Amino acid sequence: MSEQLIHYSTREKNHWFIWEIHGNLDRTTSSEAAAEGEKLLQSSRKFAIDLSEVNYLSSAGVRVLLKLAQDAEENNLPFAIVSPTGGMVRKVLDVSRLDMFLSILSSSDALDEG
Amino acid sequence: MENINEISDIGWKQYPADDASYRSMKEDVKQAAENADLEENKVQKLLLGMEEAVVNVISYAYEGSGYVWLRTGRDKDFFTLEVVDQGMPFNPLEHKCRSFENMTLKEITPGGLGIQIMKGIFDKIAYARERFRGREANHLLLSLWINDKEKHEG
Repeated sequence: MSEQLIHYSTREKNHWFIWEIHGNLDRTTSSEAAAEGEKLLQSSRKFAIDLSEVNYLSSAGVRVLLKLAQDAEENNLPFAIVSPTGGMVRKVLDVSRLDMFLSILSSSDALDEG
Repeated sequence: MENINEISDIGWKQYPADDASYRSMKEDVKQAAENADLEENKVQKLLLGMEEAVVNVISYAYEGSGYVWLRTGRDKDFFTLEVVDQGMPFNPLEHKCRSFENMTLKEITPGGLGIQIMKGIFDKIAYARERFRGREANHLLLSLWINDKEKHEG
């Protein structure tokens, strides 16, 4: 049986456009995710990526997040990543040190209003 | 000829060092970890270490085609993943962790990220330039504590 490695959903909250990624964000899915993310970013005013349902994140996935964050900054778009503490995905984000430059929230409840 | 250690020839799985083989490698490592009854987060760590190490081999080790060999096992309190290639010498431990001091977001490049992740999630990492099947090879050993409770009590 073939396994669906990645899929997406979207929602809005407090004027944030939230892109929810489900599955694996790694070498096999990163190109597809990058293309999807760029498309969504271009039509957003405030962009958040919710990794709560990501099971596996590698450096290839972190590269996707970094590129989207850089593109958001270039276009002056508020940008945030949502990743609950305690799991492997958050551990990978922590050792990547992206928290020095990006807003990484434990829950989408923390996305500000306005 | 330089006198360097010979890696034992037992227990390795050989794969072409290319993207087409990546999924087989991942499935084999996952199966080995599950057969050893490792916790889910340790299975994830092993897969992550495998991906980061193997991607370096696929991307940089060989000018043309080549192979990568993987071996999993147990060494006392550790579950181990070994990665060997016969490509150009590359010691990931010589790469310093990235420093973002005085950098802005747009100045960050993703280079070295995979190595940084490996260093951040494994309990031990060792590298040696050794001989394997008649040629010099890079030998990377990634180790995870099997039982975190013993680790903290130890």
